Amino acid sequence: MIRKILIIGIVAISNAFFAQDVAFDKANFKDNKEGFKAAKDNLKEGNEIYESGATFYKNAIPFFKNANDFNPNNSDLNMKLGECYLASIYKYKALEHLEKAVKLNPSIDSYAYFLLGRALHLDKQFDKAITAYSRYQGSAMSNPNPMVLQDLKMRIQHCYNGKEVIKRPIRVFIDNLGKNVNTEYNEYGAVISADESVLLFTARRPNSTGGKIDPSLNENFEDIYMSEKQDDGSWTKSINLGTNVNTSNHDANSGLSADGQRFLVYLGRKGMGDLFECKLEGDVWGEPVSLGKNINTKDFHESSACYSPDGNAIYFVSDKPGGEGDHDIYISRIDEKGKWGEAENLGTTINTMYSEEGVFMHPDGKTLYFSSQGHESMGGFDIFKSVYDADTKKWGTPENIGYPVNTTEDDIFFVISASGRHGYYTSLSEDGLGLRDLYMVTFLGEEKPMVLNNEDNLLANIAAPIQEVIVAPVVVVKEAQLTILKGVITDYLTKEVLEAEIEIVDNDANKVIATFKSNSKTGRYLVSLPAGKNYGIAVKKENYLFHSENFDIPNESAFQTVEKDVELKNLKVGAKIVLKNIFFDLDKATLRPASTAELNRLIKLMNDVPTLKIELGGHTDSQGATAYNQSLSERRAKAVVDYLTKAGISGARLVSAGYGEDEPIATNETKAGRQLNRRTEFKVLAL
Amino acid sequence: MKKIRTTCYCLFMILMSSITFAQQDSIVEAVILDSADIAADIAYNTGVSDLEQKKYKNAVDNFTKAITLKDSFELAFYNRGLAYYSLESFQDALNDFNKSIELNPKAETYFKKGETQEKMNNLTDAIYSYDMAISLDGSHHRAFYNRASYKFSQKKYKEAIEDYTKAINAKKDFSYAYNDRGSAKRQLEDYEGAILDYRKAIEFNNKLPFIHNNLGSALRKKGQFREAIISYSKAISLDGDYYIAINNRGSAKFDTDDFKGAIDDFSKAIAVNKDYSYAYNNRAAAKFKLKNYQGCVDDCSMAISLDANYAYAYLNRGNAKELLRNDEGACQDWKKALELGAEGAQSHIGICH
Repeated sequence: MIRKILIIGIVAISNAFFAQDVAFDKANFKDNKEGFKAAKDNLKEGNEIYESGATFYKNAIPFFKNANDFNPNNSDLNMKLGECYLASIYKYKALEHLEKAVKLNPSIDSYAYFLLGRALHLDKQFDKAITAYSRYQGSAMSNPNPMVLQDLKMRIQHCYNGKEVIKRPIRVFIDNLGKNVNTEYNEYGAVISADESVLLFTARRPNSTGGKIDPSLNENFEDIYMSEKQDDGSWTKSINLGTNVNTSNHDANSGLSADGQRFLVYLGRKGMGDLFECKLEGDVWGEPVSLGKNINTKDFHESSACYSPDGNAIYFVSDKPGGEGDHDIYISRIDEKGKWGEAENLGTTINTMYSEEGVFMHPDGKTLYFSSQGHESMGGFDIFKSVYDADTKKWGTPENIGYPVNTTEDDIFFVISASGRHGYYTSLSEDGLGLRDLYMVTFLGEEKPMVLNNEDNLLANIAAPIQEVIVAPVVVVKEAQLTILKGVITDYLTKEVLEAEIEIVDNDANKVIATFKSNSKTGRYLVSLPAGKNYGIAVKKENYLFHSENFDIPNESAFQTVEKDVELKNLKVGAKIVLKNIFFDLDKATLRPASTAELNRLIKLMNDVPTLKIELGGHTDSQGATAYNQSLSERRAKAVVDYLTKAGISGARLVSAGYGEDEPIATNETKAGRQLNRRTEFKVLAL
Repeated sequence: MKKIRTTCYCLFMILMSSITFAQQDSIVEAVILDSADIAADIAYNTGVSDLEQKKYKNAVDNFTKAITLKDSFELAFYNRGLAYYSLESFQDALNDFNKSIELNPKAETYFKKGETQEKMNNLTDAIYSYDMAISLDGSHHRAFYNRASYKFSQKKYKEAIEDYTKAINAKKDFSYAYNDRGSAKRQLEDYEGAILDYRKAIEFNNKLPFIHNNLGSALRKKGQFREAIISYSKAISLDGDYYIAINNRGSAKFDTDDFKGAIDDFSKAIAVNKDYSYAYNNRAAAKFKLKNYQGCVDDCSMAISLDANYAYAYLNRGNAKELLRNDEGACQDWKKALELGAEGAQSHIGICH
């Protein structure tokens, strides 16, 4: 026992000896006067910068560090150096200094414990961080400031959350997007097109438009840049979007439409900021146009936004009054006049008393990704996802997308590819290329079970063993059931690219879901089609026959990309098109309701061109008797003509013809070929 | 042998008597007949001796002689049937058992007929024969056992268990029946019952490595991995080359997250049987767990080289390729696994475009 007490005593004495707080006093450094003088100079310089405010803390680091190298045992200097590191990209260096500060002087200013809590929190030492925060909280209670107390409460809750979130890490690869995108400066806020071919992001580079320095951060103003994915998966050298988009103020990208033809931009204005929309005209981005007063406010901050996949709604973030907390997420839908309608708060399932930011709607149209300081954040902003249930019209409980994508730092501006395989986000990492960089995260999902194979000699009298196979549970891809349809629209004869309207119709509901335009310069288009619908797709342009495609995508379909180049034919005598969205009951000439949209399109064409006279031709495959096929094709062609006649189109302008199996356009040997052969065509007879 | 000697002596005395009365015409015919019987019996006995010495061809010749001399010689037909069976002349055996049954239906003959029919893949008829054997002898434990085995092969495990139980009731120390009943219970996922039966089988015969192995696998199914390892080890101690048990022990070690120990065992199984594709696949899985993804790919490739249709080796190799950042290769493997019918492959190919 005596021995034990002795050991404890020795340890305590040695701790006290080594933990002595050494003041910057000449008397303590009699043997090194020159060194002392230099250290004092550094200390003075550092203090002057420090006093300029938090924005400049990072600039004080070299001076404080020099002083600290000379006298590493000064509690006040260690605290300041720790605080400065916390304000820099070298946050992880703060911990050792803050631990030392409180060790050297346990009765140091209680604010040191707050800083220590932050450093421990950052280092995922959650229990110790809670202790440090609580110690500061105790002293803060003596002079309660509601803002401080709420902030502490939030941070402590983040630590508790962190303990849980970190227990269930997700399997991911995280890759820096490389030197063509990232630089030594800040890059952040990536958005991507649905097929991951186009990347827009914000950067603070010295060559930013206007060349101004943001005094609040001591950094360059924001500009928007673009990069495109190359065949080998790397990104092209990023380019500044130019003065049409970028101004001498802050210009930050926010949301990109699914087809890559429009994007939302944040323009900073004297501490506030509003949301604008730019359209791609050919290969030039048009000037930003304000989203209007239903979205933007005069005195508040509309900071980020995204489009719904059909382009008919915008989700955006605002700190305007009437929300649930600081910044909240709202939705505005396009009204009948084509304007953005009144904004609606997404409600308490999504929005918390803390801030929400960086909203992104997945191309499936129901999974919302956003960042929040509330919910189950493990520190700062974490990324969450919530799935909208169209039946109950409610958002699902937001789910933390998991560590290590989410960290104890701010994790924000997260977007995810249509396939769900890749996410893009901003992070500050020691192995990055400078300040904040853009990273791609590849989601690997649950660990894929490895299958072992074993066998036994189950039956005594059978020499040959009976095989046994052990199989692990299934990672449903619960999501990513999308079809990306993309291609180029050209003139059938000249092969010139065309800017055409693309109309997406839910055939079963007979409802136009969305309309898009192909790019006027490249003719390129891209649409994402969630599974579970029979889609009719009509490509239309004045003086051309419309082109129709059908995509019946069952619920269980996996993610797929379909490339479909479309050649539009001029409206002239002899031109023919296949009406791919006309459906008949099996072996009958009864038009199914799903054909309505296509038929209405035809009616519109007939009304738009009153001189147009057409032939409706029915075709079958070669299965079944020839006579039967002939009769079926005739009856089907007539059914279409009858429909048009009932809709008011003169019978004199319509001819029905049955071709049976006589004019195949594909082989009848395969199922796919036969499907192509079963068709309804129309041919222009006169104009 | 003593019995044969006694029979020979009797036949000799009869032969001598016939010579004594040879001059009386009315008796001569009878004597000739008697002498044929005697010769048949002698040939038969010689055949029995051949059969005992596994001289099956000689046995067939002698039983044929006996039958030629005495065409109603039921025992000779039965024994010749046994000899033919051993020579794998199953049709001849079947003919002889049928003749024997025609002359004198017996449970044992029906049983052997059933076994012959099984060999000829005439399973329905075999079961009928076992049924007949059981109808003639309600304690014919081997008929119950064979009928149970057939039902097992038909996956009629409950019916099999009933017959195994009857076999055990007829023969209390029937360790094979205990083992097989345990296996039937295991197929019904009654692992507790299986463990009890395997333990009973071991109680009556603890020298059969496969029963220890089966006990190990039932314990593994119950999640009793450490006990499973002990049972597999017992099987391996009885047969050091029992690569199936070595592979199984490796899997049990895998289950306890002892991936290095598992790799040792899978390597030992491969050392015993270098063509054992399962052990390569399993070693690949253990290497995967130790993040040796290239090693995993190499072992899976070896398994596939041994069995080009090894669906799960493709599946596992795909998993490793994914983590080697080779998505294209992973997708190729998963698609192949799906094509070959690997369960779970469909969910993997969600990332493949």
